[in-house]
Amino acid sequence: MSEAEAVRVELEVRFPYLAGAVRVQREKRLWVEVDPAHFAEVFETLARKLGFTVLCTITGLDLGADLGFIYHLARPAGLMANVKTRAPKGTAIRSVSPLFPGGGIFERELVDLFGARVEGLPPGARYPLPDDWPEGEHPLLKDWQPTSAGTGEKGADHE
Amino acid sequence: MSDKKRIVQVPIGPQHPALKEPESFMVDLRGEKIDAVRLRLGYNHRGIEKGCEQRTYVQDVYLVERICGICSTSHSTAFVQAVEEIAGLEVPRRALYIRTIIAELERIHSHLLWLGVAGHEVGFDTLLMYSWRDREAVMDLLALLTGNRVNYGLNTIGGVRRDITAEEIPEILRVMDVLEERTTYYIKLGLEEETLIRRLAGVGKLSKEDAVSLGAVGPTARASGVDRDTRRDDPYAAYGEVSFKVVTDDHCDVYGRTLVRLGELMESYSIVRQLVKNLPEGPITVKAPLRIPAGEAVSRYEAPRGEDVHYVQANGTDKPERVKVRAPTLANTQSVAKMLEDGYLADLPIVVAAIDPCFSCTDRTISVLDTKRGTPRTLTWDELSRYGIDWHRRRGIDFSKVVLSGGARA
Amino acid sequence: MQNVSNRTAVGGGAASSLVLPADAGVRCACSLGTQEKPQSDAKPVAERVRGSSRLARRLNIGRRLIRWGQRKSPWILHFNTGACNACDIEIIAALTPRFDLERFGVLLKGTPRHCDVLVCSGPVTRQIRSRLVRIYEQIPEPKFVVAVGSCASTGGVCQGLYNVLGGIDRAIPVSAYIPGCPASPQAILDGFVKLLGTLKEG
Repeated sequence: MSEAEAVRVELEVRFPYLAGAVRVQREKRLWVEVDPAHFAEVFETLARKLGFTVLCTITGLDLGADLGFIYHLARPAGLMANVKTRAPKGTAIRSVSPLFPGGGIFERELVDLFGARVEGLPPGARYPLPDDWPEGEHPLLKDWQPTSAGTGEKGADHE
Repeated sequence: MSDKKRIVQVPIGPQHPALKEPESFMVDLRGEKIDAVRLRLGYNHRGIEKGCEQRTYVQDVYLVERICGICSTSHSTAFVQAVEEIAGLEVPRRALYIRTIIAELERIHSHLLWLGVAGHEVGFDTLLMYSWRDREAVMDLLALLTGNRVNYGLNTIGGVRRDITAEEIPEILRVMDVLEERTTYYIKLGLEEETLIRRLAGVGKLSKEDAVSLGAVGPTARASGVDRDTRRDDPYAAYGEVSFKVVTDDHCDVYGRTLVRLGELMESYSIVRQLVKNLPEGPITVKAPLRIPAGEAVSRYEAPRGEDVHYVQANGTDKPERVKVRAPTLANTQSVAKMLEDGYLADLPIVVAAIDPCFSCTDRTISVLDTKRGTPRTLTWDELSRYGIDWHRRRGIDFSKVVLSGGARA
Repeated sequence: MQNVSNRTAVGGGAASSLVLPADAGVRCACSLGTQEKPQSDAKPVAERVRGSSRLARRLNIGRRLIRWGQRKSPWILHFNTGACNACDIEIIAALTPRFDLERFGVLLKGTPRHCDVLVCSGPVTRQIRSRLVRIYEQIPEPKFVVAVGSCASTGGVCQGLYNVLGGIDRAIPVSAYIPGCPASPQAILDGFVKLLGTLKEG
């Protein structure tokens, strides 16, 4: 059994609700879909018990009524577990910085670019948008468009 | 340690006090030592991920190539790899080899560039001039092979756009020989030149535990003993077919980061020679559809600065649904504050330079609060660099006395 | 940008650059974040010359030449406005012995106060804009601005990206454009030679 397969089996044994939700895409790529209620325990198990001690990054997605989040975890020796979850826009998710101190910066991107609400983020500057970026404007949302002049204010013309 | 530490942001220049500018580094200073540093990032944020959604995959190859002008083939290759995986394309072996050759040439030029930048930050400009002169040999080679010194336009979805001809191969090997000789000299310098060792050793310390918990990557992590290299751990392109060492070091400081990069240069010359010797025959590209079927993939690549991660989601059209890029520098900046803690202000420039950051340092401003006297100051990067060089010169570290051998012109 | 005809040149091959004649109008299209018309610094070079008489213009150019004569070399300040760094590396490479921009007397200086030419790369991100303008204002007259690379000239690949203005001349007036992605050291040299030549002619 390959390393990825072994992890899949392990996850489905520990969390029966994950049956059918764990996919081995190829040798070094696992995909796990978890609903928000169970996300914390699956994530912690992977990070603390199954050796996925690297958090590469967190991808935000605009899924319409929800925001999607993909936590790209990896074992130091290379196997990745990409954990996908979602939450309705406006609801808060918990920061993973207690487990991954370097991970706060990825969560700040979600806040700035998608308007995500992340609870438990340690104090720090926003990233990556400037301080004078207009409130409530989140560029990576699908219905957000920059102006043709490209200054980022919806509807504003800088010329 | 003072109890009353406040950060006061001081704008530059008396003309426009209203145009307050956020400093990139806010330093709490205790005497000459740094208590704490806060970083403010985002100056180079352009909006590329959004731009990718609005352009076709082919246009995006050229856009992501310009995320970083030093790691340009890194981003371009990481991107096309993800798209090729989604589309189920089997890229011809010859194309993979060519990608890998260019990838290693990029590592070579980047590390030589870094050597010069590090030299400049410590006041050793001769090293800058010599290493950048040596680097020109790689730039010429890249221009010969791809048509451009930077931003090579090498990749297309499904392969590469230019072949390497038989006539070009002897030139590749010749440049590898010359640079190997020069790098051997730089390694000797690194191991024997007192002034350089004294300047770099013990500076910017990052323990292995901190490197891991803060997510450091690349030479920055490997210099703290973290044995990770995407080329070996998650092989891509032709790395599965060449043999090379992953260079690690236990110094956990700027000196270690220097040795790791020099060691990696030597490994790169060896990798290029293997690839050239075993270059497979065959086509250099396979046809790719304009519309990529729905799906997603994560592609990882060991850029000169460390692991580069691209996530691509396709939706069946000719434009991606989502492109997410995590460049290595973002991962490494999380460690910089730790490296600077309890170090000297004079060392800030070289410590930051030692992670080989993919943002331009020279326009950074630094706000320094002397916590004993409560006096805030704002410095430009240049001013802080000069302060650092002078500070060390007063302690006997003077590079103007160090003579370098220029070697034969490459 | 009415007076410029070939701002969109991209490509590192041929060493080509566009330098506007000393009395050409370079209209700055920026508004510094407000909707007002361009600030006074942004007026065309010709208008900035005190008085419209030809004599006054000759005198001003004379003053410029005197200053350069005293200095014997244009001092440059290099500023990255959010570029990918490719142009920045090529600018510095232009100063290394192989290309040797220094033989034209060009020296890299760290402060605006002692600089004659502001050499800019990058498409001007929102965060950097105010610092770019402030640096420009701190440079004493006469001063010149060189936009190096496609992003600095027209926005390049960054055109339409939400966090960039799209070129140096959207924030400050530009005297010379050096295209390329990145601009090669040869193109940078060529651009500087043309700029120096144009100014000496007056």
